[in-house]
Amino acid sequence: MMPNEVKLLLHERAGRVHVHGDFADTAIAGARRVRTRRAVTAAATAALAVAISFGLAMRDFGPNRGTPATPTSESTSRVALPAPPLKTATVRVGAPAGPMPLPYIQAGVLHLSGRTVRISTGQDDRLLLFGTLSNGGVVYRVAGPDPALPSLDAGPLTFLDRAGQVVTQQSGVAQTDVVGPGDRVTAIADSGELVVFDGGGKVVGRLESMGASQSTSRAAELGPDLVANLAGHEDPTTRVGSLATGRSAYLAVTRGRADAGEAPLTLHDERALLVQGSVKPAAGGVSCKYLDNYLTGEPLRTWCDDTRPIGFFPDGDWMYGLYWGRPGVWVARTDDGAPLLEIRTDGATQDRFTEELPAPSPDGTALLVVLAAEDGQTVTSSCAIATGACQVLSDRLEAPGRGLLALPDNWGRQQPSGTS
Amino acid sequence: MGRMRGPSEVARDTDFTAYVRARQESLARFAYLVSADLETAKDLVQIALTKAYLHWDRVSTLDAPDAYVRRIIVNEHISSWRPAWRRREVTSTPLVELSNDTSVMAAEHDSELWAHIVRLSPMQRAAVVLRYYEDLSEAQTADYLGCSIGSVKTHTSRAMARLRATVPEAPQ
Repeated sequence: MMPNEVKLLLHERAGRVHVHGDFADTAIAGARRVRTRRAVTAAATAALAVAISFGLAMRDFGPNRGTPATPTSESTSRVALPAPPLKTATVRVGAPAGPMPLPYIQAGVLHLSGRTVRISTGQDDRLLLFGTLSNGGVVYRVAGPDPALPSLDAGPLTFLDRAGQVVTQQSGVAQTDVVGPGDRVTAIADSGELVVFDGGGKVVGRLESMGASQSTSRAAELGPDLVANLAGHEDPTTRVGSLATGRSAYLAVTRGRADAGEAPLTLHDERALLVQGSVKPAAGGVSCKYLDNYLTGEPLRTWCDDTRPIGFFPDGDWMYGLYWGRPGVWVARTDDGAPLLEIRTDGATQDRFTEELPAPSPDGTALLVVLAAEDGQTVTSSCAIATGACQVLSDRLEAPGRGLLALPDNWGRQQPSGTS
Repeated sequence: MGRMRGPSEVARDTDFTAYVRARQESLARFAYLVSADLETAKDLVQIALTKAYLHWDRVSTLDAPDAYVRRIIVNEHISSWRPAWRRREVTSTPLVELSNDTSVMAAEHDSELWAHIVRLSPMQRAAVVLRYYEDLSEAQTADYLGCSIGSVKTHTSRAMARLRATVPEAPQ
């Protein structure tokens, strides 16, 4: 069975289909009905929100108010990372070793330090941003129901404290990204400005608009004043701005490659490390990656293989990622690529789960792996990078949307509490 | 009595209507391949166009409004396949019908192959249609499906493996 055979058949079958009538009138009429229905629903939801807020306030002042939960990680020690040799770890489905130690979202409900907060009301809502803050709170943004371009239908950027209470909500932002350490949250405003918030949701700076086509794929904080912003795949440039002056400038991404298929893959904040590479590997699943210091332009390392870098551990000494054409998660030394850890799934688990989503723990001692199945179920495991020992943290959580992690986006980019 | 529409809304409707009339057949064909069912395809096109109209001020300025609408079709189909995320704001219209030209005689092998494509999972079929009908790259397909490139590879390779295992080779 050749792909060309399938292609010909699809075109032949498609050519048989004809439309009788006009979809335009029915679509316009349908859209007007939807608008009316949403207006009614919004009024009811607003009334409900007032009632819930009042109820929560009354509960917190009641005699049985519980002690606020502490942040999930208070560790301030930096573990010395072991040198290779390579260890192999296996993740599999199983009973969790204990309560889920990290905030997560399931079926539209945020689970935060033993409390639950509903953050979404619609079944089609999508989670655009979910980050933990060093004060134990979280920041998130939910979009819906536009299924094609969620940013068109996104809700406010919402900051919650560690008790799950709303601290503030910010509207009028088009794209968002969590920055760490320092709890900086960046957003591209509708005006094109880059707006930077602190962990309490206050605006700490704005950078001038750099053009209507500006987009962001990742942002990084470079000390107390400078903010770097990696543009999207179509525009592989880095923008660095000063919060004090509001001025910003583009840096040509260090290598200035002619190949438009190469784009920023990941970066490390403090060390200004940037990995660029092909977003689509060549034949055989091999792609070339380039590690640079994106502020100085110094090339650090180049390698070509089937690895797909996802991110760095907090100290920048280790990288982790996936493979282009096969399952598996890897950890390797940043400076020379020496492999440290290879994480695989056992046979039965691999048949059931089609995606692996890795993220380092904030203290850098473990790599967490979320296995996601086609039906949206996830299993989260944690593998110690020193020993390769893995344990299940959560079993059968449901992701809130396809391909979206139900767990914080900024693991490994957040400084552990007490050290910032 | 209906609400009066302003000039801008009239122009908006005219623009949207012109787009739909030019593209509805192509969209219906795409929806048919994704869903493998005429009635479902009709629903998908209507839902997608309704949602596109709700955002038409922005959608009409996009370089490729078609890509936007097709993305809704794919997402809507996959979402409706998952009961937990099913949501019906739009009901099917009796005013539009899709037909399948059955006068074209298909070879037995092609009929068998199509029957097996119909039996693929929605994600697998969507990946195959995007890759081999729309000629999208794996990265573009991943973007459409809201999953990783690795997932696209998995869905596509599993679909092709299944077709190879169940459909005999075409006669030369």
